[in-house]
Amino acid sequence: MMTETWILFEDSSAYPLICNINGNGKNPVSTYLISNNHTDEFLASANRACSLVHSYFHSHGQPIGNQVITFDLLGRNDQALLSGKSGGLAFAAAFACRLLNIDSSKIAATGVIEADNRVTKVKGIENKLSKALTFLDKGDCLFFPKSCRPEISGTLLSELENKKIRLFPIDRVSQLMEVLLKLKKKSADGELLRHKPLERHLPTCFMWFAITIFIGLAILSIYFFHGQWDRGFD
Amino acid sequence: MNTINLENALKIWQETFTISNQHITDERLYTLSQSGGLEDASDIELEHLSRCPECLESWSIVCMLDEFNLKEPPNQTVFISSGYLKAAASAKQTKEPLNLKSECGKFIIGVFPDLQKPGKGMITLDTVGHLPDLEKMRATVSDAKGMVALEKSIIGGRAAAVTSDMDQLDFSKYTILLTKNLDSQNDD
Repeated sequence: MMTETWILFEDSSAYPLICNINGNGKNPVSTYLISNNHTDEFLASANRACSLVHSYFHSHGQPIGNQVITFDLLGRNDQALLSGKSGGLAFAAAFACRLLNIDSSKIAATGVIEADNRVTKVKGIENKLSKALTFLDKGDCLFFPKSCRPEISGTLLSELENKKIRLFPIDRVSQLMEVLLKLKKKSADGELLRHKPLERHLPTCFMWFAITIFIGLAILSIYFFHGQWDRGFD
Repeated sequence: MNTINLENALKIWQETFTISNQHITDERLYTLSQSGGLEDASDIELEHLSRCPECLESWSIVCMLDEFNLKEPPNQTVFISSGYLKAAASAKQTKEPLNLKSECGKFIIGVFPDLQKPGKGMITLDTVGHLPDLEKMRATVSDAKGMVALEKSIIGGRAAAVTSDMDQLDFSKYTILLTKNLDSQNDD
């Protein structure tokens, strides 16, 4: 199962972001929103986020081709206007998770992504994190701008920490990518343990089999040579 | 409010069946091709025109192409375009990604089947260049069989939809209907 990425809004609402990708685009990144009611700014924030994730892979020697990306907000009423730029970090996380095929815990994110890769302040951080507290569970990840940290109340921070939600205050998109790549590695290991126990333990099994054969052969040869010694060799 | 029962359902079906089969007469197409003609068209005629490539083709022949000129802001409530899949005529089923440019040259339709999930995929619509008059208009893209592939508002020069009927879509002919979006007008 794919990681669920949630986008947080100032009005204390949050929705899972459904990201679909296709590697047959005409441009490096073409981003579309399925919603009928959003501003140009909201779409631009999604496009910028995806472009930076695309650049990250490219600059790290893993080009991902021309991607067509669609985002949909699950359960969002089309009547409500989607606006603002703070969804950028959530778009970046959703796109990266989809590309990396991460099978991990839930992720929630908020942060404005600037063209120079910086993650900057958002409005209503307290409302957004309070909402995240209601649906994130132990081990889930919460990304927010580092510059917002002083605005978060101590009570809320301790509630998040008590629930064992992993907090990631970041100030660059590359930091998000580094965390996601670690999650990818963990989820890949987890997948191996869960779904491929035989393959996982095959080297150990082979080693024990070889040791058993070796000991068996050693005993047989000792017995044989001992018998021969007693009988003599002529 | 109408209640849904067998009688009403059959009536609706009968109306729908009539729309899909009864072509618009040549006289009526001529009237509709005149300046402002589409504004007088009934909903049934518009529905048929948007979903019937044959009538649309006849209509577009009768119309002068300069009616589509978007350099001047149109006051009409409707804009229709169409196109054909020019490559391999036999490739009716959408199993490979396609980028289709409309006959009027103002739109590009992208068809992106999901190779890992047969039948599923994305349909995108992009305007070519900056066309502010088309912003927030509701775009309906129908295939050769009149099946609606996309019905979304154009925002930032683009719209998209995901579909589970990719196998059934036939883009050998298609139509694009733009109407003013009443929802977006209410927002203000």
